Amino acid sequence: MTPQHDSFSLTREIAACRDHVWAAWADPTLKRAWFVDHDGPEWKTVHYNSDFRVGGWERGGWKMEATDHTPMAGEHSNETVYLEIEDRARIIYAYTMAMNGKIHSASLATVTFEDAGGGTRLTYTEQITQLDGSDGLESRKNGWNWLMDMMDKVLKETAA
Amino acid sequence: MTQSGAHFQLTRTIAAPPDRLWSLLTEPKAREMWGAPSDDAVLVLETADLREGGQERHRCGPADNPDFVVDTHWYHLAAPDLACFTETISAGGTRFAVTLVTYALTAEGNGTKLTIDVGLAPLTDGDMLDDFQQGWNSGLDRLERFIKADAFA
Repeated sequence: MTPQHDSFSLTREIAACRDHVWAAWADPTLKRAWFVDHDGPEWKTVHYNSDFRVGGWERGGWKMEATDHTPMAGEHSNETVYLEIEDRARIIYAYTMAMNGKIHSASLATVTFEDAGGGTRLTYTEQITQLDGSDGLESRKNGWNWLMDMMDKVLKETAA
Repeated sequence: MTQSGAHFQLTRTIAAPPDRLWSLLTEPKAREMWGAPSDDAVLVLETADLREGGQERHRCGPADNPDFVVDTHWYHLAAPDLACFTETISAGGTRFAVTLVTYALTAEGNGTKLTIDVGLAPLTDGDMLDDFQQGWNSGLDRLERFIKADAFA
């Protein structure tokens, strides 16, 4: 297969201060709450750890049980390396996604944090190389929109 | 200013079979021979670790002071067809940009069609997309000259 290079960008205005939104990415417990623990009942987390520093890795493994209407059943894994961290302003990281041990995408993500009114504007930009077995750009965008919803939910739940 | 998400693609047909081209593109010492962004610059290997998850470091710049640091992270290596990696470019403790690079190799006659995708995440202000594209084209020019010279060695 010829790899396909694409990119997309999402922007969210979040009703939480920049410190709190930053913590949702930098604090491993808070990150896990929206990035891992809000998966649906068909997902089982096999392992997850995060080392949030330049050169540090975040690794996760998930198993999705087979149902009648999903091609996603199997073991999924994510490996992330943090390449740039500018406190409360910007995170750049690269990550791969694999299914049943086979990498199907490699991505470069840039996340920026800006004050916006009384809240925070978060912009997520991903450049993705889709390899054989990738679930496609729309699926990735939908996945990140859903993750942003989960992040927003966790931020509301953990608001002081 | 170059925005995150900026991208360019280069395609060339190289007069070498995929196995040979793969080695020249990925082997850390081979990259020294062509990978500098201009004829006046050098690329010097510091650390080699060619494997998925491996991290490598080269220094780049004028021969008497190669003060740019190129950190490579390899994410996917499927010889001789496909490679994905990032490069972080820095100097004097300042990071300038991170690029996501994909090599796709396809046999074409006696040679290889090489497609390179470069996605750019800038870390400083300024228009750098053209500079990166020029640097890659210059490196590929040197790669083709090296292959041609090597064929007649």
